[in-house]
Amino acid sequence: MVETRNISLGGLLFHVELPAYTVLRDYLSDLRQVLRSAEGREEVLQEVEHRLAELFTQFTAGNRSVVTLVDVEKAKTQLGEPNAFRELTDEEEPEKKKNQQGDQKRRVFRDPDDSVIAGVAAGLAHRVGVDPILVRALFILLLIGPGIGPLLYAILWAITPRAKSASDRLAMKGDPVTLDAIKETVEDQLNKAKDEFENPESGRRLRAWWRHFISDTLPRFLKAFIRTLGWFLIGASLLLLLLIGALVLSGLITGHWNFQFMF
Amino acid sequence: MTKEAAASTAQMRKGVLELCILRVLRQGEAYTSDIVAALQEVDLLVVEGTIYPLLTRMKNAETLTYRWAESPSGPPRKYYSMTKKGEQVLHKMEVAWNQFVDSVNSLSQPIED
Repeated sequence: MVETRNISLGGLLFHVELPAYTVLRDYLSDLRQVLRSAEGREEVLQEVEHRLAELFTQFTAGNRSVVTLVDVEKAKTQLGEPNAFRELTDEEEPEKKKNQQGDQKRRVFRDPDDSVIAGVAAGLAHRVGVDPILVRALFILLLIGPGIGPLLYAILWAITPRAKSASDRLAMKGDPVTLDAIKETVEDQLNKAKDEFENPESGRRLRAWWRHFISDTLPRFLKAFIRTLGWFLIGASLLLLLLIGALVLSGLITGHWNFQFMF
Repeated sequence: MTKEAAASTAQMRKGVLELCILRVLRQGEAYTSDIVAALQEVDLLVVEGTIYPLLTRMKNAETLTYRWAESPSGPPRKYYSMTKKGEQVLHKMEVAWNQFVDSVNSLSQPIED
């Protein structure tokens, strides 16, 4: 028995086996990454999704209702590795390429190697260049103060990718630390979210996006939010317990002293 | 083929891809897979991915345009066709290409005077 995921590609619904889904998702996110400075990235990605939909329809023609790993690998071979998409643009922008090697911008990931909940704080800390404990303290403070800590955390969790590969980790821990870096980080993430929101090339695309939002983004966000809230509640109750314990203990001690003073 | 020759051939292929796409489209509109198939058939394209960014760029440069059409099976298809500007660009490219081929060929021919 294999679990499947429902995905929408080019406006069509596909049931994809979980291992195949993982490969497909990574492929598309690698593509997005490779094409980040390419002209009309969203359009290219849309074209790719359409082509994938077509290939899957072809591969499963008639007798199957599920897309397997073999199908995904076959489609990948036909479309080519993500780098193939850059072949034609690379030589034309030697300056840009040099630039990328020179001062590669640090990107925000969730750090699975250094996480308490989902690695959001650690990821942010790497980007900004401070100790993760500081960022965590900030989140806790936001919980006690205005109480928006968990919400903020959950949003960041939902929109920040997890650092999967070595190059992700390198990009995460990359380079110099400035105040601009912090600003850029926030802007980056906002722009990315906006990007994904605003790219309705056509009504079809918007519908696909909406379906994706309902079936993927929203549940992911809710899951992140609920889990975050759980963790924060556990953290907060532990803190509270500690506080009460300390009070009781100090009470006992003072009580003891008072007792002694009575004699 | 040696490694060096293969690398050089790949470079040449990339250089003429735009010209080739326009040539394919001169015969009438074609949908992405048709273009891919036509180019692969004559060994000008290895994997499909290479031309997607190129098609988008050419569309933005207004040398080609597209329309959506429903497909009997599968998702809607994008049919590309050449614009007036594309025709002019193609013409100039072909002149350049012919000169290029002549120049390259002239080097291997014995010089007579």
